[in-house]
This record gives sequence, C-alpha cells and structure tokens, in this order.
Amino acid sequence: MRIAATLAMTAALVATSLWGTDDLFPFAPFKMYSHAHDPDGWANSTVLILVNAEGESFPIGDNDTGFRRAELEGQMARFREDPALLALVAEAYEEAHPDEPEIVGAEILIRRYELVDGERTGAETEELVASWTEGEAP
Amino acid sequence: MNRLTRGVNDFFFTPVPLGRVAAMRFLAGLFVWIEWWAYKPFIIQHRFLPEDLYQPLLIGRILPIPAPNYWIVTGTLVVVLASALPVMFGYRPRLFGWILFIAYFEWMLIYNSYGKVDHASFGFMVLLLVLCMMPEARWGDREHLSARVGWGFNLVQIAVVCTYFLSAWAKFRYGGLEWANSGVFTWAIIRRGTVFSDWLLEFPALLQFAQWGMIAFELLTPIVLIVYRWKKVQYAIVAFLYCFHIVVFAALTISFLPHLFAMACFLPLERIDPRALARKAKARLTGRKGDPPRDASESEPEPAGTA
Repeated sequence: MRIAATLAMTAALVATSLWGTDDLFPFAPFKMYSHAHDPDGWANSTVLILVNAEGESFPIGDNDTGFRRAELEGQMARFREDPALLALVAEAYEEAHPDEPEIVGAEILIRRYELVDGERTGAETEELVASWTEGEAP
Repeated sequence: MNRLTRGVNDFFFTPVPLGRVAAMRFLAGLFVWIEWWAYKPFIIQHRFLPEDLYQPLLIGRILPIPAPNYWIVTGTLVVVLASALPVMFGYRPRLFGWILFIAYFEWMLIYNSYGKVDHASFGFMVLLLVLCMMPEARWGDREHLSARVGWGFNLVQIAVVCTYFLSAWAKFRYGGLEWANSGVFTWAIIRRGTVFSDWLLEFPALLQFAQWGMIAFELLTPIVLIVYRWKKVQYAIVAFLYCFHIVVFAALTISFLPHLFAMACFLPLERIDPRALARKAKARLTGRKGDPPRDASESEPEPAGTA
C-alpha cells in the first residue's frame, strides 16, 4: 500500500513531466531554465516602469507590488492585448505604498541584448510592449 | 525472489530513528517562518493584487478556492505561522501538522496562481505531508526506529531526486537537444547575474561546458537513492548537492531553499540532541565541574555539519 503511494507519486511526477503543464500544480514539469536560448540571438529582460503624479518614472521590482517580473511575463499576452490592465498593477502599487504619490502611468519595456557566440556585443534594443496612462479605464 | 522482496523492503522501509522526525519538524517550521519575510516576500505582497490578475490553476478551479484578497492572503499566512510553532516543538505535531499542511498548500496556490509556477517546493510539500503521518518524537532519539518514518523520508527523498532528474527531462522537452549548446546560462546571468558570475559572460564556452555538466549531474542524481546502503557515500553526494546550490546561489541568487530543507532528511539528524548539547555547553562554562560522563554514542553529529 505504502509502496503503491510512492509509486503513484513518482508516476504522477513522471507523467506530468512528459505530458503535463504547469496548470497541474503541485505536479508539474520541473522546467526551471529549461528553454534553450540561441547563443547567436537576443537575450531579453523585461522592465516594468511606473510614472507617478509628480512626473517621476521608476522601474519596480518583484516585491513592490507582489506582481513579479516572471508573472508579468507569464501574462504578457494579456497585457499586449489590453494595456489598460496595467491600471491593475498601478492599483496594487498604490495599495502597497499608501504614502506615496498616486500612479498615473505605467509601461512594459523589453530590453534585448544581442549575443554572438554567447557573448554580448553591446547592441541593445528596447521594445515598448504596453503603456497606459491614467484616464483609460481598465 | 526472496532477495528481491528483501531488497524492495530495504529500499522503502529501512527503519529510521524517531529523533530525525523531531529535527525535521523543527526545520520544516523554521523554513516556514523564514520564507514569508526573507525568502519569498512577494507572496504576502500578493494580497494587494486585484482579482483580475489571479489566474487559478487547475486545482484552484476544481476545488472551491476563492480568489485571494487582502484578508485571505494575510489569514493564510497567520494560520501557517501559528500552526508551524507547535509542529516545530513537538506539541501535538500530527494535528497541527495537518493544519500546517493544508494552510501551506493554500499559501502555495497564492504563490503560484499569477502567471508563473515555481518548482522548488515540491519536496517540501511532500515533507509537510509525511510529517503529519509520523509518530510523536523527541530530539536525539536514536533508540526507537520506525519503518513508517523510513518510508516517509524515502518518499521525500524520491521527490527531491525527481526535482533534479525530471528537470533534465524538461530541458529536453522544452529546450530540445540543443539546450546544452544554447546560451541559456548567458541569458540567466544577464537577467540575474551577481559579482560572482558576471565575469563568466566573457567565457561563453565555459558556460556551455557547465550546461553539459548540469545535464549530466541531473541525470545522475538517482544514484543518491541507490547507494542507501552506503551511508557515507550518500552523505557525500548530499554534501555535493548542497555545494551545487551554494554555487548557483552565488551566481544567480536562486537558492531553492525549500528543496534544501526537504533534502536534509537524508542526513542523520537524530544525532543532534539540543538538550545534551546544552548540558555539555553549560558544563564547559561552569568549569567542567559536574560534567556528566557521556557515552560515545552521544558524540557530536559530524555529517549533519554539512547542512
């Protein structure tokens, strides 16, 4: 019986690794850093920038809103389609920082660094994925 | 056939001293107390996120689990921390263990339901579950052995090994065979490099070599289960795994901390007896007067030092 339990857990892990997706949590493919990245391509890094009522703009990190960069990237398609969703992130920031000036704008940038043979060439590009300013309803 | 049965029995049910259960309960509770503010502070920050950003996982859609809000997130954390204390100190550890397991599971759903699923906690969740099924235990107990405990920790160990082994599989699945020749480590260092790793960007060939090494090492991890009869070999491998994580942490500040806590169940933690150590320390402080003669079996825990 207990052996069966062990085998069942192992089988579930193996099965989700073979065919499963993250949706099957807690059983899920262990895919940390599993995607190949072309050594002659572009490495990207996502930045989330907020603009406050005083006109200051600043990048925010994972702990500022609780909405992590990886989570932003996971939902990127939604943000591309509907940039007004950034209002939700602004809202979360205001909730978490009640003493700071109001957030009136936000944007998502993807910086890309060119690689040749795995080395950075110094060439960079920036793509504005989504931007939102106060006044647009979410 | 008889030998096979015995081998299977040995593998799954080698009895483990109860002292290790007390130590693992303490470590599990300790991790829970460290995680929320030092390790994953963004989980509690999820309390500020509007419901529209919540992307429930399958289990969150099947079970009637409400979308997290300020009070659900805060309340879950309070229950997790409150139930961890009695578990840590062995007060009704099974009852509070179940509460801890359920609350921590909800905590993990809050963690992973916003567009990114992390994979470092599987072994730790298994640990919390099996600790609920183990008897009451006290530190340093090496006399009472239990096959049930042996089974439970074996399960955690298999989960730990799967985390490595199956992540090599995931690299083939998502990255393809060229993963090891790709620029994945360069990419990782660009994103999260530190002073210890940024210089490596100048040596892409070395990084690719490391990628091959990584695959080989992950595929070889099941060895640590197979060598269960040779404890010294097993402890050495576990020490190597801890070193691997120290290097990864220095390079990328990724630590897999819950996984490291779960992995501790490989170690003979039953050799640690805080009371005996305290007595010894006290005896030393008071000028070795009344130093009770201790037998050799209660000597310092040596392999546990690798943790």
